[in-house]
Amino acid sequence: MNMQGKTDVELVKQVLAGEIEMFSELVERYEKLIFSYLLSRINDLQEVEDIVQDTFVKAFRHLASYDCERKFAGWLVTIARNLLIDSRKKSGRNIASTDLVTDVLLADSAKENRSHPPEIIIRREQFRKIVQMIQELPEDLRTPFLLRVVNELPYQEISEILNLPLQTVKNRIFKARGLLREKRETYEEMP
Amino acid sequence: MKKCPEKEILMAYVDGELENDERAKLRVHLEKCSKCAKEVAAISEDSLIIKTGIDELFARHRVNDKIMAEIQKSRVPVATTKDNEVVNPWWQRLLWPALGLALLFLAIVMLIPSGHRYHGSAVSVSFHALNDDSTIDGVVVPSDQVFKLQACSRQALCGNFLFSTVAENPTEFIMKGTAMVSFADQAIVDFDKAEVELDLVNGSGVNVRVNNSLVSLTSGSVNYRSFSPPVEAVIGAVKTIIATETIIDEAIDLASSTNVASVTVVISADQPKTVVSVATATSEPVHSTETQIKTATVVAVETVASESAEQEHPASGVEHIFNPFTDKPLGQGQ
Repeated sequence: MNMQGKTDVELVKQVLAGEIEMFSELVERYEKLIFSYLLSRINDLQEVEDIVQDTFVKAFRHLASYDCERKFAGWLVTIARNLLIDSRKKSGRNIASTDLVTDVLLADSAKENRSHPPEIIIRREQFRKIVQMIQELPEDLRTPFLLRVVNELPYQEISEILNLPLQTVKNRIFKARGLLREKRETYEEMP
Repeated sequence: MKKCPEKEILMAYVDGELENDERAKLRVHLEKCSKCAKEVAAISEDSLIIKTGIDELFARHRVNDKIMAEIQKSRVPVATTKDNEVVNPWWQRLLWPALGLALLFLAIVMLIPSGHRYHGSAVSVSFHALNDDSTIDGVVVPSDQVFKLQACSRQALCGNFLFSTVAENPTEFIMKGTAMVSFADQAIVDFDKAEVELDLVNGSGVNVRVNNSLVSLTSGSVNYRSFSPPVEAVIGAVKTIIATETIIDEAIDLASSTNVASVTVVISADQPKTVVSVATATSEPVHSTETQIKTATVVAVETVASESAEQEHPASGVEHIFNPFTDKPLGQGQ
């Protein structure tokens, strides 16, 4: 069944009409977006996975209340943000207190590096260092920056999804990039 | 292009956000200027490393199968109404009308209240005009025509309407005025941009949402005459039209990233009474030291005054978000 050409609203209506399998296309379209959004806000990859899953399950259960005039991606991000707030309240976890992404990256790469050529190992090492630098950026800069770089979304779309003014989105992306370049230049100049 | 462009222009170029002519000029410049070309290459390289790395990370941590398994397991019936232009499976095409007719019959026989007609089926909301000059989306509708509130649509209602909601306890209420009406979470009727009077006429009560506030209609009339359109706000140096939700979002972001317990977003320094939202940290005691608090949840949103909110605002770089501990704008003397 060709689902590629369908709009989000068309898919939502088909799911609401009982064709539940159509929901998988919405998951396919937006799972990485929600993953990137959460990754910009929390460091625990297990928590990211859990909230990505909960976001889509909750979206499915409340699909009848989705306002088709809103962007579906923006609605999902709102759900993810609310789940994240709930999760922080329940666990009392501090968003910036851990460095698990880096830990997981290290663990993952240690496992996989054995069988990979040197250039991939070097690229992963570069990525690990950049991730550390991204983590040092303020959270409000990280989110639009990652949505731009990872999901390659236009500024206007990020503005609509995050419900932020376009100029704010631009400023935050530019600021994040600028800070990241400064950090990399400092790092590269180090002996 | 003789002078080297600002870094922001180079970043916008990498992001494909420049207009065609600007892009063409920059390309010519990049061919001649090795410094800018190097900068563009570095920005592109950063982006590529991050994208490739996170794509790999994402591939290892996908949960799409788990999501679909969870959904198939629960199979919560999400359909509430027959939607326009949706091709339903054959069994649904027969099942829902049959169920609807049966429930309508039951409703008419068992639940009809004296003095009011009753329309609708289970877990649905229906409405009809009570006079002949009421409109839906600007079109005058006859008072004997019954409409269902559809999922995924908002209708502009103007005039007098009788709403019938059916769940375990059937309820009827009258809406007088204007509102954008839709079907919201858990079958709650949502009145947005509403200037309405709501009057419960039958049933023990019903929850509705009016201008983003949950309201219990239990007896008598409730008046909503004070709807204010989204205000024009100034946050930082950026002047823009922002709905309340955006301001809250900004407040959460700000509270999360600046270690403050609560932030108050003020429309304008010249109009200090126009407080539109208040965000307060709840994960830590409010009296803790500022540095310990990093998360925030909005606990109250209220419009104190908005008459002058759409007037002129200073477009200077004045920070309008205040630290409640110091009573000073954030970023100044914290």
